[in-house]
Order: sequence, then C-alpha cells, then structure tokens
Amino acid sequence: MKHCIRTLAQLSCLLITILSVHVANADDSALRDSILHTLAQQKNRHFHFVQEKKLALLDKPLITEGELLLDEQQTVTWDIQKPFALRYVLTPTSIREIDAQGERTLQTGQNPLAAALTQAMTATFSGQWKPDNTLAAISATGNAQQWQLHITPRSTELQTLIQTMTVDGTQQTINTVTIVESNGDRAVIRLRTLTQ
Amino acid sequence: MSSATHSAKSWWLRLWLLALTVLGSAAFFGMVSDIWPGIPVRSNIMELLPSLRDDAVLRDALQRSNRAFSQKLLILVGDSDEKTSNAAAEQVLTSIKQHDFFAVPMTGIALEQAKQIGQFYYPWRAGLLSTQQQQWIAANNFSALEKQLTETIYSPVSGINSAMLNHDPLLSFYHFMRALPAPQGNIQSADGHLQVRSENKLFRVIIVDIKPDVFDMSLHPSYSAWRSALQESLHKQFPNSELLLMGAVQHAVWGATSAKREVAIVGNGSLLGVILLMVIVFRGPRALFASLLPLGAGVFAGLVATLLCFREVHIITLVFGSSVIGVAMDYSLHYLTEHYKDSHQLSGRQCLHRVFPGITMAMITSAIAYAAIGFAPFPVLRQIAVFSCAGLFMAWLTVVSFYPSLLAPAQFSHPRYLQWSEKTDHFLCHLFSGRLRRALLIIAALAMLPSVLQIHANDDLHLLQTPDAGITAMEKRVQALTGLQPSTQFFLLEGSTPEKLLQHSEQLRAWLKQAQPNAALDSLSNYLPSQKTQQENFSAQQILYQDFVTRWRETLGLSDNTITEAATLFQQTPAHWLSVDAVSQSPLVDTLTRFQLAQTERGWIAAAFVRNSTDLAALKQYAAANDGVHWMDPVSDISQLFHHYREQTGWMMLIAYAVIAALLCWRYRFAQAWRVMLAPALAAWFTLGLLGYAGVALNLFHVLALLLVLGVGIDYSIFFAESDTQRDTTMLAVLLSTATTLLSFGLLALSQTAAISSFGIVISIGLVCSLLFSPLAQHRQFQR
Repeated sequence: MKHCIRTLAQLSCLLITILSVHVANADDSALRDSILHTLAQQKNRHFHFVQEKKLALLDKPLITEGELLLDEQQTVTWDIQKPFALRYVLTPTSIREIDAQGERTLQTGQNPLAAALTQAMTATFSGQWKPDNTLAAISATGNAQQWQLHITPRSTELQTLIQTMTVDGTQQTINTVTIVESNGDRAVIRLRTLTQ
Repeated sequence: MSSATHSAKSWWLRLWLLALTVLGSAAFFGMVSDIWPGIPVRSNIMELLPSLRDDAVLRDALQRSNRAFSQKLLILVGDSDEKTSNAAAEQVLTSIKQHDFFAVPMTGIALEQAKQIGQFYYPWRAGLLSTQQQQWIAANNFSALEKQLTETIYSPVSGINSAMLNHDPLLSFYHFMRALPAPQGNIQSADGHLQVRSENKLFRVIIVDIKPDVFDMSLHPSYSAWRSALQESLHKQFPNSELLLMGAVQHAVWGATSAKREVAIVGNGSLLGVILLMVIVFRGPRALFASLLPLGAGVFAGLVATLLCFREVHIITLVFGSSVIGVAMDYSLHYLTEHYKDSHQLSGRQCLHRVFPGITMAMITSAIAYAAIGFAPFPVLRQIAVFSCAGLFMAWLTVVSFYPSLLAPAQFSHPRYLQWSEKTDHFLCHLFSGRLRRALLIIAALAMLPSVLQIHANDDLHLLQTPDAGITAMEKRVQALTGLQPSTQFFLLEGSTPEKLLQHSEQLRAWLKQAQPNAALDSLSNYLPSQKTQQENFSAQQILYQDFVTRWRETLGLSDNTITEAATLFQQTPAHWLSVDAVSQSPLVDTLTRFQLAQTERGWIAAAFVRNSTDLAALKQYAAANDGVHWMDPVSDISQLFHHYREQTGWMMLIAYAVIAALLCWRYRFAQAWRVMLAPALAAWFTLGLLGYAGVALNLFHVLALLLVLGVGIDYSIFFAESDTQRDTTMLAVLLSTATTLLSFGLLALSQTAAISSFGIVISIGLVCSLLFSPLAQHRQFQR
C-alpha cells in the first residue's frame, strides 16, 4: 500500500512538471510567474559567486569572488572574500557594510539610486518581483529547464543605472546575472549553488 | 424717605452711571480706533505659556523652531497591496489640495532633485571633502583611503560607472555626496514619493505643513472635518487600508475639543444649578435677574479693563475670569437674603447699611487675593487678575448703587430656609465651642503638620495637557514604522557672521564625535562647510593629487588623461567658496529652512539637532561652556518655570495673607482680626494636609487655587464678622454662595487636564473647610 501511494505521488509530480513545462512554453508570462514562484519558494540559498565588472574607462576588469546568501526576509548577504574581505548585507531599505573595522549602515532613503539598485538586487535574487511593480518590467524566455529573466527598468532611477539585467538559470537555480549599463559598462555575476 | 437718604442713593447711582459711561466710551473708542479693532479674542492655547527666555534673540529662534516643528503633520497610509496604498495616498493628496489650510505636501527626493543637488555641489567640489577622508589625508593615512576607494569601486551597490570615474577619479566628490546626512528613520524615497515598508505592507508617507497656527482654535473645526471626511472615504473605498496621523495638531485639536467639552459641562452645569438654587430659595425669577445685573456689569468692566491694559483678551481669561466674577454673586446673595427677610420693615438704604461693611471688606480682600495671581508671569493669569479685580469692583458697585432703589419689597415665601440656616449656624458654632472640641480642632490641625511638611511637588509640563491615549498610541505606531523619534531638545548656534556660526557648528560636531561617538549632529555645516574648512579641504585634495594619485592610477589602470584633467582644478586656489547666498538659491534652500537659519540683531542663528545622544547633560554643559552655543530644552525649561513660580506664588500668597491681615486689624482690631483670618487660613492648611495624605503632588495650580480659597473664604468670615444680629441671613447667604461657587469651580475637578482638576479639587476642599470654619470669625461675640 505504501509503495502504491509513493508511486502515485511520483506520478503526479511528474505530471505537474510536464504540464508546467508545457504551459510555460505556451505562455511567456506564465513561465515568468512560474520561475519567480520557484525562486520565491526557495529559502536560505547559498552560492559561490565570481563578479566581473568591466568599466569602459579602465584597462582591466574588476574581479571579486565570494559567497552569496539569500534568506527568507529578502536579505542578500554579499560576502566578498577576494581581493579583500568585505560583507554587504542588502535589504530593500538599507545597505550594511561589515569589515574588520566594524559595521556601517547606509539607509537608502536619501539616495534614490542606491535605493533602486538594492531593491532591484534583492528582488532579483529572492524572486520577489511582483508583475505590476513600479521598478522594472520582467519578462522570461526559454523553458522551465533552461530560462532567462529579462529585467528592464521602469523607474527613472533604475534606468539611470541599468540598461538591462538578465538572469540565466536552469530549473530552480540562478547561474548568471548580467547587468548592462547605458554607458557600455557591464557586470557579470556567475553563481554556483553551495547548499539549499 | 429723607432727603439725605435720597441724595446718597442718587450719588451712588451717579457714580455707577459714570463708571459705566467711562467704560462704555473706552470700549467704543477702542473698538472704532486701531487700539483694539473689533474685540480681539485670542484663542491660541500656546499663549497661555510664559516666555521661557529673557534673551529676545533666543526667544524668537525658539518660537520659530517650535512653530516649524508643530506645524508639521505626518500622514501614513498603508495596505498590503501596493496599488491600494498608492491609490489611497493619491486620495489623501487630493483631499490635502482641496483644503487651503495645508501647504504643498513634501514629496520624496525625486531623481531629478537628487541630480540637481549633485549638479549644484559639483562646481564647488574643490572645497568639499567628507570628514573621514579629510582626517585620513591630514594624518597621511593613504592606505585607509585606498582601501575605501577600492571597496567602493568593487562594490556591487556603489553604482560607480565610467562616466562618474571620468569626472571624479579619486572619488572625493562621490564620498562627499555619500556622507551627506541621510534622512532620519526608515523613510525611503522612491519614484518621487516617500514610503516605508513594514509588516508586509507598503506605507506611503506624506509630510505636509499646516499654514495657520495649529494651536489656534479657529483652525480646529476645519481640521477635524477634513480628518473625519478622509477617514470615512478611505474606509469606504479601501476598507483594509490603514491611516495614521502624527503631529502637534492632533494633540492641539484633542486638547481644545476636550477643554471645550469640559467648559460646556462646567458652564451649563453651574448655570443650571445656580438658576435652580435662586428660583427655589427666592421662589421666583426676580432675585435671579437682580443678581444677573452685577454679574453682567462685572464681566463688561473686566473685559474693558483687560482690553485697556493688554489690548486683547484670551478666551481662557473670559471663561475663567467670568467664573471668578461669579464669586461676586456673594454680594448679591448677601443683600438679597437680608432684603427678602425684612424689606417691609427696612428701607433699601437700611438694608444696604447692614451688608455694606461686609461686602465692601469682602470685595477689597478678594481683590487683593486675585491681584496676587497676576504676579505669576503667565500672560493669561495677569489678564485674569485684571479682569477679576475690575469685575469684582463693578459687581460690588452695582449692588451698592442699584439694589436699594431697584428692588421692590419682597418676602421669603419659605421662611424655613432662615430657620434651617440658623440651625446650621448653631451647629457650626457649637462644633468648635468648648475646650474639648477646640482641643480636638487643634489636634486635627496639628495632625496635618507631618503631611504638609512632607508634601512633594510636581512641576511637569504634562499638567497642562494630558495626551489622549488613542493619539499617543497612533504616534507610537508611526514612530515604530518610520523610526522617527521627534525630540524637543536641540541646539541653537549663533555667530556674528554665517562663517562664525558654521565654525561653531563644526567645533560642536568635532567635540560630539569624540565625546559621544554614537551620537550624530544634524546641522547646517554638514551641507555647507565653513570657508575655513573648505580651504583646508582644498589643500588636502592638492596633497592627494601630488602624493596619492599615481598610486591609485596604477592600481586601477586609469589613463593619464583622466587624471591630468581632474588635477587642473587644484592648481589654483578658487576665488570663491560655497556660501549661504549660493545655498539659498539652490535646490538646498529647504535645508536652510529646516535649520531655521535667520539673521538677528546679533548676527546669525540656526538650529542643530542631536540624534542618539546618551548623555544630554553633557550637551547642556558643552553649551554652557562655549560661546555661541545654546542648549534648548523647552519642556524642562517649562518645568523649571513651574517650579520657580510655584514657590513664588506661595510667597505671594503669604504676602496676600499679610496685607489682608493688616487690613483686618485696621477694621476689627487684632482680637477679632485673627479670628477672621483663622477660617481661610485653617481651610488652606487642612486642604494642604489632606492633599498630602492623599499622596497628591503639589503643583503651581494647587497654589493658585489656594489663593482663590483665601479670596472666597475670607468673604465668608467677613460676612460673619460683620453680622451682629442677622446671623440667619448671613448663614443663608454663605451657604448659597458656597453652593454656587462649588458649582462653578468645584466641577472643574472633573477635568481631564491635571492643571484644571487641581484647581477644582483644591477649591472644593478649601471652600467646604472655609464654610465649616467661617462661624469662628464671630465666635466671641456669639458667645457673649
């Protein structure tokens, strides 16, 4: 009897997956919503990251490496380990900088650009984008196995900083985040899941 | 009627008419001229407070700051659905625009505004540097600087791009801009509006100034109507949304409304009671109307005298002063009881002759007691003193000049009242006769001693207003959501020039950073460094471009061109520095308004606010030790003032007792005078003792009420001292007078405001004691 129930459950999971893939392919917004839903469902994720920031004015790229933690409260902990040790804790309203010297908090209220940027970052990593949000328009391409989220700024604040932001993923995992700025600068963040 | 009587009567009438004509002409002249156009009735409750500072410059600055602070209304409207929050906020904004008592609401920092601020500062960047970078450069600590710059450029959230780096390769301007103080709390600026995210809700924050003075009661009905309409329409359209309001106007409206309600209860209650008493005792409206005449003339005289002295009258003076003149009912009652008893045998003149000494002494002693109230520095108390003294005199004059000729003979239709009063008189007289009973009275009085000696004091500002629990709870919620912690304490910084003022501000900031590292100073110099600091910043940046730039260029891989271009700015000292004039014509002009920068007769003055200080006493000490720095703490100043004037009024009361005692000695000789003084003095003593045993802390308003107890209590004693033969009518008059005064003042004890209820409690206890002890005034004669 137990065996029978388990088989039924597996079958129904498979059916739901096939159905959702099918639906996702048929409708772009449904795919987007399902990706966002999947991302939002995952709590306490832990990644290794490598960020490569290319500024048009500089000869060499700025490379940082470290770990990224996402928790249930939409908090992104950006723990840089190389080339120096520095941790940023981003919430939708504040940026906390922690290093050997101590801790500094920047409330993003006075700085609309910083506010827009941290909100975009926390929303992207936690999948907390609401389809009707005022910050950016979200669309998706691909399928549930291999997908891309395209984030195009709606707010003038975010438009000043970012031209587009693309999130590449497979199934439930984010692989790469690419941020392209209006003046040709770009940043690519590669992620590898450590634990879930 | 003899001709002498007739001429005396007409003399009084002429005097009365003359007084009324003079007052009437003064009133007419004042109203038609510019002296007091119309009748300027003030209704601003803040005017009840005395001015806190002798220094006119500081007083004006404090008033400006208080006003700027109290005019603000913070509105939060939130919902779990963002769209609903925004729609509800739009509705709030529309309703604000429809009411002209609101100024334009403050929006969030739109990107455009942030850009404009950046663009404004950019040409002045040669003199601008963050304090931290300035310290590192001064200490030659380039490695700390390099660490900061590296972290900034690598940061995922710094927003640094090629364009910015091209204009500001050493990121000094970027860090100056970043070091500009953030707004307090969790309020964020997004899409040009302010918001707070909390409890899975989005709260839109709307900050708006109210144009008229929020303590002016004429604003209150329209504000209340706006608030109710808004609450109703939001509840209908967005039933789940939450509307929160915080601002002084909330307290002001509640305070005024509850005060009005109390005045209505007390006013109507006492009026009804007095009418009933008069109609029942005198069986008809005639005595009632007769006693209204002195009251009306008294209020009119009080009003004109107040206008003559102050050119305006406060609504509280009118209400309170009229109640005090209500005490003048005593004179009417005293005459009327006498008149109703014997008017068929006694002429009006004889009747007056019987009561004249009593009511005249009563009027003079009461006037002395009320004049003492005027020595407190509270502007309204002075008005009340003038109003009461003039009113009492006029009421007395009306009784002595009008009643003998006005009142036709009348008789008590219920003579038992007199029998009852006589019985009461007997009872009270025997209450303290005999050695044993007197010994008991002395023991009871002595029993009050420990309580009086131990009575503690309370000079808290909250005596004047007890905030409504609902408003306070809403305020706490707004504070929790926004993280705003409004404080009434702040610095006022002065300087003969703006430069000196800014230097004082920078010195204060430097001291604070060292003395209290967690505290922060929000002051003008954060946005506008002094010229001295700008010159130091310029020299520091020159050093950077000489000693540090190559190292940084190599670390980053910047081109020579970028560096050379940026370095040209530091080859020559600028001819001009950023100044108040430049800021006042910039997008930062609101900042000048926030710090209340103003020119005074001594130079310039501005406010500065300290956050997260753990040692306010140290701030006060710093201000005391440094020129041009003043620590303002109006709440504690008012409490100190209450303390000072509680003591001073206490001394004034003793002086009033002494003056009245001297007057009584002149009239009655010492042997009788001390008995007359005994009743109000014992009443005050027992009241104080009972307050002490009840654990009540003594405040200024208790002491002021004790003065009133003296004023009213002495009347009773004098009536008895002057009544040799007519004790029954005297007791009836005193009983009626106690009842009417208890109705007008005793009901104040029910007030929710500590100051007013203190008054009511003391007067109630004091009057009952005065009534009990008043027959002592005539004890010896009675026994004889």
